[in-house]
Amino acid sequence: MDSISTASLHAVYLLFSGDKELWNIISISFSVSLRAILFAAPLAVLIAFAMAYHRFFGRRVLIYVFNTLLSVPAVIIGLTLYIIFSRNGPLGDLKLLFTQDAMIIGQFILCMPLILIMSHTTFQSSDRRIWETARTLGATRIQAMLTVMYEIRFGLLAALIAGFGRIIAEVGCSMMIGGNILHYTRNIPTAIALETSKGDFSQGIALGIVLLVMAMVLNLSLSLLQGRGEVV
Amino acid sequence: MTTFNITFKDLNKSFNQHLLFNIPELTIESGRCCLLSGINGSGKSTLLKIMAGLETPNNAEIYYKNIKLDWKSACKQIHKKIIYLHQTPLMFDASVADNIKYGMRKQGYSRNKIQESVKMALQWADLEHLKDNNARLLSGGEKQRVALARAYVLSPEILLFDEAFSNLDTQGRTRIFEQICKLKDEGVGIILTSHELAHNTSLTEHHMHLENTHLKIFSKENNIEHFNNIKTPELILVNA
Ligand SMILES: Nc1ncnc2c1ncn2[C@@H]1O[C@H](COP(=O)(O)OP(=O)(O)OP(=O)(O)O)[C@@H](O)[C@H]1O
Ligand SMILES: [Mg+2]
Repeated sequence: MDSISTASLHAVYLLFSGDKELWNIISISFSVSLRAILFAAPLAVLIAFAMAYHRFFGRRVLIYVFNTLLSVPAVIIGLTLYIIFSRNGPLGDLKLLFTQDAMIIGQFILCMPLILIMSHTTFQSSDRRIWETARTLGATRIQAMLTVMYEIRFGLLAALIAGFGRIIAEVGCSMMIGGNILHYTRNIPTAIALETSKGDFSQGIALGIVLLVMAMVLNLSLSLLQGRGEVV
Repeated sequence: MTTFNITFKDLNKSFNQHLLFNIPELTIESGRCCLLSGINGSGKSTLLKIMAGLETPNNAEIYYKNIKLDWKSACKQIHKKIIYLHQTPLMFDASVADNIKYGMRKQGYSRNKIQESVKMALQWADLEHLKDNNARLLSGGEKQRVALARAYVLSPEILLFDEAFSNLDTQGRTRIFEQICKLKDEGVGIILTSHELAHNTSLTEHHMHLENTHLKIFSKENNIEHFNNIKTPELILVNA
């Protein structure tokens, strides 16, 4: 009990004293996950739109594939990428293993299906009159698509936040293909796992606080935004 | 003044193998008003949406300026000239003025032209006092007027009103009726739908009735008795 409270106090001290190592880990986490989202989101949203607004061959199969990907555990994705990127693997020559790029690829694969499935649901339930009104008033297909996205922006934002939530605190995949290298691929979840196993709780608690605060801020701003956009 | 007209031949549409309608020939043109009647589910909205290029027919031959067009190039012509108005209009999450600007912005009109037209349209539809309000918070009748103004600024050749008079009180109906009359005088072609088999004699020259996949067409010149026998309850109010 005593050790936990001292650890917590030390955690707060670490956070507010601007501990270099701690903030370096935090910045790696955010930079990797944000880049993964940046690549995944446009692709996911575009595919989701196409699946909701166009009937094409293989649409149902695609939905099935992405739903399956959604329930594959992160370690399995980590393992697969590890095998692919390892020295003797098919893409071993790219020397991606234990780099930030590998982590970005892993997180991309993790969050893409989630963003896609969630935005697909949002597009599916969007009012068709938005598209029809835009088109009949002379908008091109792309303009009409952007109008639909704007009208359902809160749903899409919720999908992005859920996607971000899935990867920012994900440990299995980052650990396997990132390698938990200090100042390079050590991010919040892998650092927590490591420090905890060493019996040093304070850094873990500090990082946990960061994740918690981030989750609160993101969800609060989302619900505030939704509240403002909530009209008939 | 040259009239705009577009002819559909062998127009048919089905949903899930179920034939909705099959129309050998149908011409729509500017400067005229036509009533389209039929019971619920007979396909009136679907027919209007096809005319506006929002729904794809299973088969259709389209003639525009006596040239046969395929569906894709016909759509390009249609989108600029024919505007469909929903039964319950959809307002974009923006101010009334921005809703009215929408089409002109997307079609790349100049700022000055947009400013000018919007001002005129707000006046025309008596919406000046609401121009900065969020359009989604308006009443049903006000939304209808925004939807009409939003189409009006684009100077369409044909306006397709899906159930223009439902959801409106007597005053609202009178207002829309007057606006439709003005539009017609300006040479805009108008098609109104109604699920009540009835008709107003002063406004319309044509009556089309959709029933069991067939479209019957009556014109004032040839079927005057038909025209004298039916009246729209909702429009009688206006004429009284
Ligand atoms: N996207 C769709 N998929 C399958 N069936 C459809 C679709 N759209 C319309 N239908 C069917 O087509 C029929 C005609 O619909 P439509 O909306 O054109 O009727 P309507 O004459 O406008 O009816 P109302 O008077 O109630 O407005 C209906 O039976 C409807 O269920
Ligand atoms: Mg209808």
